[in-house]
Amino acid sequence: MDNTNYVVIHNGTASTIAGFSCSESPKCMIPSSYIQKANGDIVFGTFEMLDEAAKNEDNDEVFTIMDSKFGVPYNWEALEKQWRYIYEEHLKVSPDQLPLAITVPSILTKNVELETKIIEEYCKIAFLKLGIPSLRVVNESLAISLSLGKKNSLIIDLSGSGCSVTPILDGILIKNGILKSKFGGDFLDFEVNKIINEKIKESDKEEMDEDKKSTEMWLESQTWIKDFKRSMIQVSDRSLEETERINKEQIELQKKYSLSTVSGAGDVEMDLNPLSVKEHYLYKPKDMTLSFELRECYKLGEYLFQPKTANEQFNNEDGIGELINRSILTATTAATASNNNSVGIQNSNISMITKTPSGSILNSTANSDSANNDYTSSIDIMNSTSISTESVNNLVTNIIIKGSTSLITGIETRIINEISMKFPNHKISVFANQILNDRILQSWLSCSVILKLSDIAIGMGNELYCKEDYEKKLSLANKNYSKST
Amino acid sequence: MARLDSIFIVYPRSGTTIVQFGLQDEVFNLPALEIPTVVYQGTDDEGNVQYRSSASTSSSGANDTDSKPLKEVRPIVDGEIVDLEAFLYFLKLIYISILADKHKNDPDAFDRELSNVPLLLISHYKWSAQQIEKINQHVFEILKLNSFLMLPTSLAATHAMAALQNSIVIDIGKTHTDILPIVDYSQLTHFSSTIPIGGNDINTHLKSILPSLSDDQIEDLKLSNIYEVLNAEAKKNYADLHQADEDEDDSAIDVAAIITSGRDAREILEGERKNKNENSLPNSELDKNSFVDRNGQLISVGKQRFQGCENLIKAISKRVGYTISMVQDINKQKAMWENIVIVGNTSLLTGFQDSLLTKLMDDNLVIEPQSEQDKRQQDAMDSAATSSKKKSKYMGTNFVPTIEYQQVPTSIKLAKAPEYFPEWKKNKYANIVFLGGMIVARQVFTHSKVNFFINRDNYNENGPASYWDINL
Repeated sequence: MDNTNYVVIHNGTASTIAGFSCSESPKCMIPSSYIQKANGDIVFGTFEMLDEAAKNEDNDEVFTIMDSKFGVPYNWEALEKQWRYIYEEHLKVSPDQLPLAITVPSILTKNVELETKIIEEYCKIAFLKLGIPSLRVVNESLAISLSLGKKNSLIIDLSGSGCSVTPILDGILIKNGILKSKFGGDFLDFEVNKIINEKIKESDKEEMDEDKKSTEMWLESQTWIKDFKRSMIQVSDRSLEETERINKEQIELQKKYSLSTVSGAGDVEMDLNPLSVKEHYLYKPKDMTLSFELRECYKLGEYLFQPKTANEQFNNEDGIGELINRSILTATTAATASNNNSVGIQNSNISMITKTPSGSILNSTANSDSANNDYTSSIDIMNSTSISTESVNNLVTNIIIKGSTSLITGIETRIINEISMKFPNHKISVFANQILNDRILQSWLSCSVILKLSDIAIGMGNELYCKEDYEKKLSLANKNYSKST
Repeated sequence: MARLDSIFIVYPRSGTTIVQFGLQDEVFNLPALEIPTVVYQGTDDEGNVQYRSSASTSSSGANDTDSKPLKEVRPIVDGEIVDLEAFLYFLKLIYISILADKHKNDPDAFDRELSNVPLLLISHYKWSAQQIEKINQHVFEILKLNSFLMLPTSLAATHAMAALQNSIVIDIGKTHTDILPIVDYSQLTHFSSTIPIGGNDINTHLKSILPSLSDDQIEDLKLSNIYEVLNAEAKKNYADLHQADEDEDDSAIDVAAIITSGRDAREILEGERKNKNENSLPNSELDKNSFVDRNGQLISVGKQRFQGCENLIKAISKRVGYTISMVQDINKQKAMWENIVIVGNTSLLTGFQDSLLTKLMDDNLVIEPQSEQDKRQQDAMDSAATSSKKKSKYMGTNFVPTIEYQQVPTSIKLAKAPEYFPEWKKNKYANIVFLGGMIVARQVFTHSKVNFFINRDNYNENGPASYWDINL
């Protein structure tokens, strides 16, 4: 048990969570974005930003800090300011007092060059700008897996910027199996906006203002769009086409039956389809009721599984089900190869947390050859080598679902169904935190939990950097650099 | 296990601190002490900072000269500890005064109630982790206490309301208001926030419309029984009460009727009092009414006495809406909307809670817009009239089924105040937070389960960080 108290900051693509590892709950959860005012002032913080955006001032602009493709910062200047804000306003501690732990998304490990660059930038801010004594970089997926006491897991993160799947076998991230699509909460925001616009045009004949300011768009995404996603969007337990087909068949059957028994029940057939049931949504900005057929609510959820249904140009291979399937196949195929290209720890270390049961695969490693994650290449691998049934089993019995988009009604059941269709011979078990507020905090909470473990148990994917080392390295690299800072 | 009569409860706030030493067996009495949260700072001969309990320097050490004026220090501003040293001194001062007082009255007290004093300190969400650890250290190492618990204001409030699982606590201070969400019995610190407006805003507004009154008179007016916050709903309620009272024997209050009526008991009592005092016309219907200020002067005020809360109520309603929408779980949101707790003295102003509730409903309630409902009703009647052949289920009624929404809130309610604390009820549940502190202290300190508070063993083992092992 390590009693060191860390400051823990999780910079997600949508929100940033910060607090102390000694405490069971974080101190703040704020947007990973900010409002820049015309006079140059910067506004951070959930309520501060909401109040500012509601003022609707002409030259206010919302800017983001995190890049949505990899989930890492690109706006470093703003990140530094955000951290300073967090330390001053919420943590109320000087940055040089405590070590800092931050999280990085697992997708980053697929791009070594970028990873090095990102860590260097983080070190620069932590050590040179804020004077933080040491920095621990924690891999988000590894932390989640280890904090649940799992050495094997398949982590499905449904977040704002998209959906990602990360396989972990024997405490090791299987790099090639890490896949990410861009279809997540933000994509749904866009589609929700579109469908609401259409509805309003239908009933109002009045067009909504298409040319919105960044603050207006941000405010909408934080208020009624969020509300709509939580209360209206649903995911059917199987593909929407199939649900439609089954319903139709049942209606036909019923009709046949009712015709043979009762006569003259002709004109109610539309009402029989459960997908035609109307759901009502109060659109607050205009104080008007918009009605949706249930199938419209399902359709929005279906976009995550079949992006092509939203736009012809999108690829269904990026749907959640396919993403999971490809990840499992790639990871388990690679697991039989001997080439070691994995990030993580050797299993002797991980056994600190969970004992390796006899008979499990001890040398699971990833294949270095297929560095790009094109799905065709993964299928080639699948065809050329055998799949390790045991590895598949290890993954599908330890599925972890997280992320704010995972709160959409029905999404868990659908994921289970998709996997069991692809892997019919395997038992599937899913872990998704049923305390929804905690699910949103999961990355932060997991990071805090594993910091309490001993250094060895924290794992190799989670590196510790010290200010002294960093400065030494810098002074070696640049002789002009003076140590006096 | 501690004795009831040695339980020590402190609720420090920006203005005053409420203190109680010892709890009763059967009832929770109103707290004994309310003292200003202030200490005085000076320096000793070597220039070190020292704190004093009073501004006068005469009673202090002989080395002190009267020439050095002491500086007034308010350790807490808007809930936040701004001067930790001063606060720790303040805490020590209270404790020592209690010890001295008890000892004076009963020389044997140290063998009994003073032998083991457990402390419950009601805390503010803005206190930093470092401050909390230092307070913890102070309690064990300087005050030498053996049992300690810090209870957040929000949880104290919900515990007084029979331990609400999901709630939102609105704590209105003089110059700030805290909005504190509670989910599953815990405070969501990461969504707790403060708006920089409080009860003083009412004074500012009143002063602007009643410039002839002094600041003190404005305050007296606000606290008098003629100051009232009106809204359409409240007006209607008062009218109802007025009627109901005429039928009843006015000599006694029918408690059973009050409880079964489901209405706010306080309001009914208020109505009773008004009826007796003011020739049966309620204050809200009088053009002018008068109050007596602190100097005994009778002052008459017009309709201005119904104004001043608008800004405050508007700001609170907006922030409450934002805060609850941050909670992911829609079912928890629903429960929070139905368990709103309003605390702080401003909330005791006549009609304030009703006005705030009405504003919360106006701003947040998910309900079919009136125009749409009217239109639907019209359509239904038209179709019933034109298609006489086809039977309409709306025929014969002017009622169409209400639309059901998936969104929340579809109902907004105040949490019900407890009925079983007569002393507190009489007092309009002022300081209900403190009542919660008493309830929790009694539950926690008189049981053998030690993991609910920090005891000497925890502290000796883990030091100031022992605070983090406690799980409420």
